[in-house]
Amino acid sequence: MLVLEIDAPRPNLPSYFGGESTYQPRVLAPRIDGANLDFDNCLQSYVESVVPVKRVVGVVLRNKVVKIFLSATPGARELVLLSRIWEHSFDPRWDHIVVDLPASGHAVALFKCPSLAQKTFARGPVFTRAGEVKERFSDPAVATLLFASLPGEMPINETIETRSQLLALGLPPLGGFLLNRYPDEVFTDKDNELLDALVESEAPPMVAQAAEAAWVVRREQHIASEGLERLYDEFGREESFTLPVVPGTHDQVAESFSLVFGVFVA
Amino acid sequence: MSTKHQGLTEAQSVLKDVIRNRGLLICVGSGGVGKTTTAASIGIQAAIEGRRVCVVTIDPARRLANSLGLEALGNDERQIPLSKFTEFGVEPKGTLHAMMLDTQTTFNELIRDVSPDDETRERILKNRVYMHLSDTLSASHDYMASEKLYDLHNSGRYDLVVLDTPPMKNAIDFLEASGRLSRFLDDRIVGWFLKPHEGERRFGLSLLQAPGALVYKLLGNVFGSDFLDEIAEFFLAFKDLLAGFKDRADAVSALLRDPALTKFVIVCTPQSTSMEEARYFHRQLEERRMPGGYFIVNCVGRYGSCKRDPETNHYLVESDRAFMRTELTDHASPKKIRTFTQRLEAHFDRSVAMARDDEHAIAGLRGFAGSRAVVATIPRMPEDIYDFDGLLAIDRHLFGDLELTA
Repeated sequence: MLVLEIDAPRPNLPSYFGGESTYQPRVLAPRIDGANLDFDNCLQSYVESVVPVKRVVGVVLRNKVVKIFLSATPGARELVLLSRIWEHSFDPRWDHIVVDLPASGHAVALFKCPSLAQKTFARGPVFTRAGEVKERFSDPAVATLLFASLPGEMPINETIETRSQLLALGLPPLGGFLLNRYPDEVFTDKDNELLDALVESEAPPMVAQAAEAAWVVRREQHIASEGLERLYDEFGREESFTLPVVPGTHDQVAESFSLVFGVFVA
Repeated sequence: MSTKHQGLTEAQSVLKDVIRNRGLLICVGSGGVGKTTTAASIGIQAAIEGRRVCVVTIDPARRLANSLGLEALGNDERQIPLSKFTEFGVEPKGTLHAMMLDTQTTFNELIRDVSPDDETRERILKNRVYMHLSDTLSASHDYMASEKLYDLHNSGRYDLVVLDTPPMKNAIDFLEASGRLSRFLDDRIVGWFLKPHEGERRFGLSLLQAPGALVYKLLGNVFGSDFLDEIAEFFLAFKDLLAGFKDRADAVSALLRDPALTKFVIVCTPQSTSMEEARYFHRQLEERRMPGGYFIVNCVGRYGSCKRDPETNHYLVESDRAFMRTELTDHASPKKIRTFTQRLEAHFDRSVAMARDDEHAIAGLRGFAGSRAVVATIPRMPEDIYDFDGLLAIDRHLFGDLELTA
């Protein structure tokens, strides 16, 4: 499996797996490779794919004016990043590639990019590549988008809204969701009855605080389960997951998730 | 230097000074930490204090509209009705507006403002490069946000503009947006692209003999020569507007760096990823000489100060358990009460431990940020915050008790 971060100014993979963030995929753990796709390197890869003579690529990319122009050209960033993911998608070394996309509105903008680029460029290599990217990432046999959300009214609204925007866009094929920080069910229904009685009583300070803490988590559980139902209504139940609240440092979180997913994390 | 307000913590005093004296407050942070809630809460408080406030979101999602009780927001500022405040017992001395940035409309308005005549305006609006530039791509999105901020700030309609930014990575784009557009419209780049088109000679002998001709030709290979023609046409149409555009981009950049007018507020939660991103963003602001130094840590565990009984090493002691047995005796069997009590205690142990972790993380952030930075905290709220009432509850933590009219 290959895990990709996109142009992350502060990549997260090293925090979980140790080592440095790299453009070229490196081994993070057995069967898991990872990389951070930064714009400069993606641009170089892209130009190399269009201009096969390496020395010539060097001439283009060393030109100061070109460098400024390319880094500032609207849409160039999005397209070369998508183009690099597209290249990786043909690499037989990986069965699966997991891409950590930017936040909802920006992810929508990212997937609008190939169509916009086709309108802008009309023909030529960028037009062609935009078409190739669009075709490959529209194929449900190749790509699927998993939505990550948090419980709560607003993040759930945002997830549903983003889904409808991407649905209208037709790219990429939409999969299920992953509802993160889903609170554990700590108390039974009977416990909840007792908790209600306790909250209404004139309890000593420590009992009152313990009851309040329990009441808050129960409330969170209720909000989260309402949100989960809304997501099920929208997405269906297939390919949909919840992840628990995992406190602690990166190492502790990585260890917890390794237990959830059954993978070994170095 | 902030004024210490009576009865308020240092963090509350500083934030109160910021909303009273600054013109621009920008909330940044990673995803899911409560930036929108914080931006909206700050906007409400500033309106209560008598300022004319506009809260702006870049994020196309409807979080801001939802939290302020509006169905949707658009590129025009919409006023939050007075009744929304009075419904919850507060009387604003100022006003509160909100808007969601629409990049295309903002960019078109800008072109209309700076175009010398109708012909130039139409030429630009119909250029394919411009259309690409002004659509929802992040580069122009972020630039337009900073442009809109500048516009709102200079309009005289508002004393304070509060910006809710998208998550961290895109917030960094936002910081760099005005600089990036300035670079894109740099005279040297424009000149370089226009050179082959001077005197109606398009890709003729003069180009091939010019320095950089090889590079130009290779760019044609990469982007297609049609695109270079389009770019040249775009720059040609833009040529007269460039100075104005660059001046505005520079002015936006200066505004974001002016500590007398602007304040960045970094919002995070005590979770390690969020804290690391907050530190990262703080360093980014420092590197760019942008006025930060105020952190809001959201969703902080509440029970960190609870102490275990020294003899039993438990938080709840025998008298607490006896109280529960008596109080709950009509509701369940002794066995069920015992099981419930054990679960309650185990859960409370975990809550206190998590709150201690939070305190530890906050102490680390204070140590990192140094004495000049201020760290405010908002406790984990018992209810989901998505409406006006919830925003007022946040305000009580950020600014102290509200003055109620009733």
